[in-house]
Amino acid sequence: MSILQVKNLKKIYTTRFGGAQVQALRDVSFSVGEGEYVAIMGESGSGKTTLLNILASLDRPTGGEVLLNGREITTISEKEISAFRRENMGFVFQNFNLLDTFSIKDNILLPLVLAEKPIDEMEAKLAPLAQKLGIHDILPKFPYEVSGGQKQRAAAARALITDPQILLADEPTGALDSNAADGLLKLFAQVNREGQTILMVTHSVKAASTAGRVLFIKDGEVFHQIYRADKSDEDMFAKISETLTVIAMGGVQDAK
Amino acid sequence: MRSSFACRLAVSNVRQNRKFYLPYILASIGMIMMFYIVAYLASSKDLSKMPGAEYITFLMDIGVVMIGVFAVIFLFYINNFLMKRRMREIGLYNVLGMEKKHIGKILFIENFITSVISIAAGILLGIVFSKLVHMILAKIMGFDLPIHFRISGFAIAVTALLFGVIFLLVLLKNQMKIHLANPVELLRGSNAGEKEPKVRHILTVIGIICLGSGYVMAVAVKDPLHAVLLFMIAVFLVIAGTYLLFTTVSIAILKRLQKNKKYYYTPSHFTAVSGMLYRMKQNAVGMANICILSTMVLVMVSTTMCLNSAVTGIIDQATPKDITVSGMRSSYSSADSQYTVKEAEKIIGALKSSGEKHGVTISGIEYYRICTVKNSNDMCSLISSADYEKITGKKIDLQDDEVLAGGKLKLGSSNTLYGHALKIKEQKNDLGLGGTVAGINEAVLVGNENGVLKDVIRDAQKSGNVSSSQIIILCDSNGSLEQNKAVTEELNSGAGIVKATYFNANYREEVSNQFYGFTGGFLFLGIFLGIVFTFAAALIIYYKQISEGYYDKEKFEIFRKVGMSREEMKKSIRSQVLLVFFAPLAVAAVHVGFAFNIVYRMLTLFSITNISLFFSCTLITFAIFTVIYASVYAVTSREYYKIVK
Repeated sequence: MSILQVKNLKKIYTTRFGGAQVQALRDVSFSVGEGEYVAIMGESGSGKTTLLNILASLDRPTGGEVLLNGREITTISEKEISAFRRENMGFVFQNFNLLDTFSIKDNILLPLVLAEKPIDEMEAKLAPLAQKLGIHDILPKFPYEVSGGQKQRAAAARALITDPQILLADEPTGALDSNAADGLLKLFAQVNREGQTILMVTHSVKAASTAGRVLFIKDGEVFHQIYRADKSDEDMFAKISETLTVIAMGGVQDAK
Repeated sequence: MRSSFACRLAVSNVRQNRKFYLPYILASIGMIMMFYIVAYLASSKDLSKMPGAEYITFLMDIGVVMIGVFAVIFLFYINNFLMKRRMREIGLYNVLGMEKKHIGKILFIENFITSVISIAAGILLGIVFSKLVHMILAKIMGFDLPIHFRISGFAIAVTALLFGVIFLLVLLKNQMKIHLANPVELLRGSNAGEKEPKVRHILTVIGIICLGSGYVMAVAVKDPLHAVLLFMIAVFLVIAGTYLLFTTVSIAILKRLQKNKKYYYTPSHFTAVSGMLYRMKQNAVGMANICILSTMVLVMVSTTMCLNSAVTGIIDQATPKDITVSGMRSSYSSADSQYTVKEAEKIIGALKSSGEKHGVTISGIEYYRICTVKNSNDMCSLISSADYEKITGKKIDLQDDEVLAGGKLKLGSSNTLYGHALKIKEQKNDLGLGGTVAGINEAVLVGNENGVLKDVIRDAQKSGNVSSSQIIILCDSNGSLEQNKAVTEELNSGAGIVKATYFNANYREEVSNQFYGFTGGFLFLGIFLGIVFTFAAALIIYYKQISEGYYDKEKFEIFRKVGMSREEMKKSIRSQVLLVFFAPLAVAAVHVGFAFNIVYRMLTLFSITNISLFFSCTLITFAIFTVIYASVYAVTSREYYKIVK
């Protein structure tokens, strides 16, 4: 059963004085099944970020629809959207987006606090999650006191603590060194095995090669996709690199 | 690095950072202009010719010192702010391979440009506005003298020198800071304040004690002279307390709230408490500055306003009639220490004949005598029952050994004064003499002239304990101003009518001129400094709004992504910003409330006893200031929302 369905998504940016129009998304359709781990790849300017922003309901499309668990999210009112986002989606960003004014613990609890959960329930949820992500000993520290990898794991904890329908990740390894990146990707694979649906936008081949399926976007359209089937990470890596080369050469759609 | 390049870079830096530099330059110009004007007035020859000039010149000298000291503190504070903002940029230069001496050179040129512009424009504007201000001052004091447009070379030199030195010191401080820092620190510079504040228990306690004891002092004081002494101490304590209140007490309170999990982990408190904690760390000093400046403005303007509006009443009390003659002699050892009726008649005679000579009829003559003797550490004024009846219009009936005691009179256990037992018929704080006659102490003894009073004076005199003896003669006159002047001048020149250390005859207008000079000068200085301080507070608010804006911009985004609605977020941030900006005003209001008593006591020295007048002056000042403050907030918060959106 698919948890996320994207149908004929279009996004056109109009410059402020109504002059030039830029088509960021031409016609994007795909779906993500429950428990799937999907990576979306594309060059800068291919429309990746626009797509993620629309999926995250931070931006509205010009046309098309996005269904999360069968619910059309592009029509949810501005009033409800924040609560909806909070309850159904988790986010991990390239630059962590942790608040310096909160301790790591408070950063992770933030979505639950906004959802007005009692403190006992929050702490009961936090303890096992922090243990799993290996951040239990840095909980009282502040973001500026911990390393990038720890920050990103804290951000992942914040995303996961609400048990979201889908975890959206935007270049999660972009600001990490390769060690920390590997750690985070392992973590993603692990929570995915435990049933968490993940959609990740990236242009790191390494990051994409851990996913179950890779979508390629070019010029605002889904250009190609690769299924893992029973390939190893290394095979995926090779396959993705090959595809990217073909795209870069101006390759033909569904070249195979 | 070639100089022309450094120059170009410096100029473009100033231009690019104009959002920060422009207000700085404008504030410096304003400050320099104000300083020049006060320095000009202090050294003005026109002004020193005005009646009551000695007070004005003295008050302007005080103004020069106050603005000078304030300018030093203020410019350093704002510079800190600017440098913090620019650290990252400077760090980048450093990382890109510019040596520190090159950066120093650029900074020097930048500072040079801003300083020269500020000083030149400030003095120029000062010269332009000095005449206007001079006229306003004359108007406040109620004089119509021709005012010449003058440029004071002395004031220019003092102004240029002072601000030149200040800017030089600011530059030196910046250079030092850059020399001591490493590039990575510089790069991080503008984010440096983000460490979580710690609770400092000892300082918190000291802060509470300072503030509390300052308040208690201000509220408890009754005696006007004590009030003057305690005022400075109380001001110091409250200023120290205010800084500690904003920097440590506030953080201690917020931390305590944070520890209470049930309270803290709810949506509105969660963001507000942690947000405030951060803001307090960043803004505590700025808030304390605004609070203190606001308090100064409020106290100064309300007091001077009250003085000025009560001045007619004061003049009425000081010169109830057209002409006042007063004589005083002190530390006489011979038997003539108390003025006698004969001496009084001698003066009245001289007054009358002088009146006849100048064609003036003198009428309604009244006189009374006061003898002041030492009483342990205090002074005590002795008044005869006959004079007491004249002054107050009340009939009293005293036996020769009976007295009325008033005010703070403290006698020995056996009610004796210089070995004479006193029968106190009545003792009360206010005998109805207060403020009526100049020269009466708070401690008063009224008795029959030939009764026990005479013995007390005689024996006090024997032991050299008579401090002074006064005679005051009041009369009406039908003469013109010139005639009255001639009469008093003649009396003054004809010294030796009676024995006196100090003898003075004056007519009402002369006294009123002096008073207007004094209170008008006070009011002028109060308003003038009020403007300077308001100016400064406004600028601090502006800088705070901008820096808050840059910080909140990032925060806004994160909150939105984590699932806080725009509305919730706006509400939360708005309430925090409002709190940060209006907390200093609220604390200032509390300060003013506590200062009310002590200031009122000091005003009684100027014979102002109208408490409701002072109250309404305070209220009006506060209302006006709040309106100004709120509009500064409104204007600057526009900048803030521009940045956030």
